[in-house]
Amino acid sequence: MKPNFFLALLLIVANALHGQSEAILAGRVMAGKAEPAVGANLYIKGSFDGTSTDADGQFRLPYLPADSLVLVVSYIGFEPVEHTFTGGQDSLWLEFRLKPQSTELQQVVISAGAFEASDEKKAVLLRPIDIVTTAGSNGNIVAALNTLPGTQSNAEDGRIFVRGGDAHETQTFIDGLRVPNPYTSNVPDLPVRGRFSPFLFKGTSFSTGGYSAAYGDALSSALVLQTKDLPEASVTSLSMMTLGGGLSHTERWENSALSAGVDYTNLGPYTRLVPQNIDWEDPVTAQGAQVGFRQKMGNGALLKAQANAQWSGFSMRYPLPENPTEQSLLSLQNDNYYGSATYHQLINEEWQLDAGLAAGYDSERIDQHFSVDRSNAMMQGRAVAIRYFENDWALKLGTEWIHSDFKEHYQEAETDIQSAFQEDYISAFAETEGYLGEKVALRAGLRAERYNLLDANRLSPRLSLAYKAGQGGQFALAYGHFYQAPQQDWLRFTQNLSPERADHYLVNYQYRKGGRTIRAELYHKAYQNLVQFPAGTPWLAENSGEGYARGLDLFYRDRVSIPNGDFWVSYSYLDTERRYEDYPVAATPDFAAKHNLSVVYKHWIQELQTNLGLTYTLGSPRPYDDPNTLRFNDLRTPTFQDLSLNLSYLTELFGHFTIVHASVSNVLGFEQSFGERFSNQPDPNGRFTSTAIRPPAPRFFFVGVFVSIGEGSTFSN
Amino acid sequence: MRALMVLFSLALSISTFAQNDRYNAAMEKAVGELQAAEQTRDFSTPANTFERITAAAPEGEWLPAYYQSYCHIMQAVGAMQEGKPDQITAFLDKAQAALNKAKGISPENPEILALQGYIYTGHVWADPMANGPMYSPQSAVAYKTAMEAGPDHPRAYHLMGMHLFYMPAMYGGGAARALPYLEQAAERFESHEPASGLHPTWGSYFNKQLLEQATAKLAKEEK
Repeated sequence: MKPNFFLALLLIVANALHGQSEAILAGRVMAGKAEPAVGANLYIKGSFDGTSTDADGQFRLPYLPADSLVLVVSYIGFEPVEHTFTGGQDSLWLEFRLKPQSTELQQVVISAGAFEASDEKKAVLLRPIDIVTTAGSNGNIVAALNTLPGTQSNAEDGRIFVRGGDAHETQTFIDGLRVPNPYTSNVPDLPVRGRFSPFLFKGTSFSTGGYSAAYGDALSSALVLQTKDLPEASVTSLSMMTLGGGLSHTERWENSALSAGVDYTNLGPYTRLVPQNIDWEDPVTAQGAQVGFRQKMGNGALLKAQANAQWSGFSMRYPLPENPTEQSLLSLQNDNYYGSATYHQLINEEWQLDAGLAAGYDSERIDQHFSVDRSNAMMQGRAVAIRYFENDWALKLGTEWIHSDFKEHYQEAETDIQSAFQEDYISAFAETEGYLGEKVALRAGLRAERYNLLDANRLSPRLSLAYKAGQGGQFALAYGHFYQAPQQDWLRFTQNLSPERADHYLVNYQYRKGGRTIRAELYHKAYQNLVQFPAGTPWLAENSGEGYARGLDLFYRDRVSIPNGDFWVSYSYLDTERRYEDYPVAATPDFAAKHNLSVVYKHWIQELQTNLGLTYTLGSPRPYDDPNTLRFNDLRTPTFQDLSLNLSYLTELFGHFTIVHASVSNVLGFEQSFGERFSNQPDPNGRFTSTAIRPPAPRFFFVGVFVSIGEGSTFSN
Repeated sequence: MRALMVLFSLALSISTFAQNDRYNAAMEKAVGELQAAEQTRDFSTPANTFERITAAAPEGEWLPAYYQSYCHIMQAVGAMQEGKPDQITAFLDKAQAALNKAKGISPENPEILALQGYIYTGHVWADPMANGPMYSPQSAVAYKTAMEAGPDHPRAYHLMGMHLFYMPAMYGGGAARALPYLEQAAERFESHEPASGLHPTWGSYFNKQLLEQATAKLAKEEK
């Protein structure tokens, strides 16, 4: 109190003597190294008077001398400076060099391996809307992610293949909880889709390697999806598509929201209209139902719960495994249920709690000259506590338990095989993340895993480091051990196996400036303990397989060079070989192409209120095996190319926000083929016969009208 | 000793008085700068001045932080017009920080609530495709809350009308939807008396312009 008082007294005295005791403070303010700060604010703390710098960054500030004064320099986008000085009668010359404010965009971030799409974070490469508007994706998250580097354009499969890894090496997590069946059900050579609509999520983090210790049981990749919080407002959505329709409603109350929806898909009319390579008996039909609930609690916590049910099926004429030139009726019926509830609470400034429960059930029945009845039930729980420290460090502690129950009944003539097993996967992890100075970000974690069925315990270290190199640029490194239980396909034959393992090494450089981002990543992945068995005898499987994958991923995103245009280019170079499953020798697997290229372009045409999207994909030839030759995987598929186009026209229908969406794949009519399918048994002449694997139709057309009714879509009233 | 105490307290009260006097004088000067900036569209001078006053303002005064926030919003709008996307968010973030300070001093203040909506509107304008879905409903909520907190204040109506006017019809905007708000704002600009010469008065001229544009647009559409 006292010093203030004396200061006040002094000011009064100084005021009285105004004009006689004033001194001049002058100098220059630089924004960064070379640029003058124009219009920077300078003032003596506690007084109302000050000045702004001129066009050269220079200033002149008359002041009343005192024992100790604080000069404040503030400038938009730069860290403010407080300079304490003793003001004598003499004039002073001061030079300031301001440091750029460490906003999220300029901060060093853990980037190796990760592609993030988020509305909330600024330092991300993608926005959720980018996923929805990618041509060729047709509302399928997976298809959009397959335009990013590190993936493969395996259009006959549809799943995500990351950096020489098989599709099952990517695990999908929703709000931290693992989704057991992220893809729709299908038969081989017909592409699957992601089961979940991209509109459910506010954030997507797709990691192609070196990911956090918070995620496990995945050898290659973690796809981490975050559902939306409370919707902004009530809305009713109606969709009418060439393939079916849907209706959903969301009701928003002050602190809670409830949504429910149904959808129906029927490929029947479409397949009759557009010539198909497939001989459909009953084209795909699917029914879906979803409910969602959100509740904001009094203590600021958020409870999210959702459940999905999907019933789908089809029948078609499909090549017989013994004789692919002949076809017989094949039918598939799939029921899938998945529900989860999560609880998120910031307890205080130091602690955050995230907990979740999930349950799922998937059953599949396939009938041809054989029948398979398969069911998979899953239950899991997860809890993560985060402790935030004052110095920007955070410590994450978590544990999860996943129980799965697998049953299969296979019947063919006299053969009748029943297999069943239960798997319990229990894990705990600790991870710390923070900054070492201004230039280095570090994330270090340790994950302990217990595979009950395999009676195996594993410990995996994970490390990620980023170093800021100049304005907008940064280097990053990542390293980690990753384990995964063998696929259920093999576990049903023998459980005398141990987890498979992959070690990741990543080096990454990223540079971003004003709407442009360039990113390059080199990686090496070493596989060991892969499941391997002599062809045709999976019950002899053991963990003797191994392999490697290495390569270079390039990514360039540019949102500014073309007015109203936005594009990204992904290129992946992949060198991989593995000896696993029934491979007799180490070979490049049939899902791995050496070169993959994607160009995604989007253009907003203001006059037409239309968004135009183009996606070009190229995949170099992939190997496949001809059992008629001695050499393994010695044939090559043709180069794969596709150009997809979409148009979204934004308009009003009876006063409601409406999107008319049309898309077509393979606009230019590239010849697309994915190798051959060979018979399991040789014919009487000792030859394995084959049929070519081709897309169901040369092109896929889609037209849909999406109407939103209510405040959630519109703004007024 | 007692005499010294009296002297002390006297000096203290004089200093407080002088401080308030100096505050009022500084505010008058700054509001003058702001009025000049409304003509020149260069808000950097009043932005700096209000920032200084905010830093040294007597307790309980929300106006300096409010005006500082307003100036930064106008700077963000300027950056939009000059095509400097990087700066827009920086200005809006600074505007938000200043407004948070004002909110802390005077919660439930209709003028501050209206300005909160303006910041959200700014985010929508900065990147309509990416920010629209989240910020557009948020700004509507802010304007509505401001209208409820001060039904006779004109600026929430004016800003709501402006937001709707610049929003494409298919998103629920357009001249027809903006018009009632602009008209209600015009009535309130006429009738509302600011609490003092330092309290906000901005918006009436622009509201008039928008009202004319909206009316003309609707007349054209009817033809």
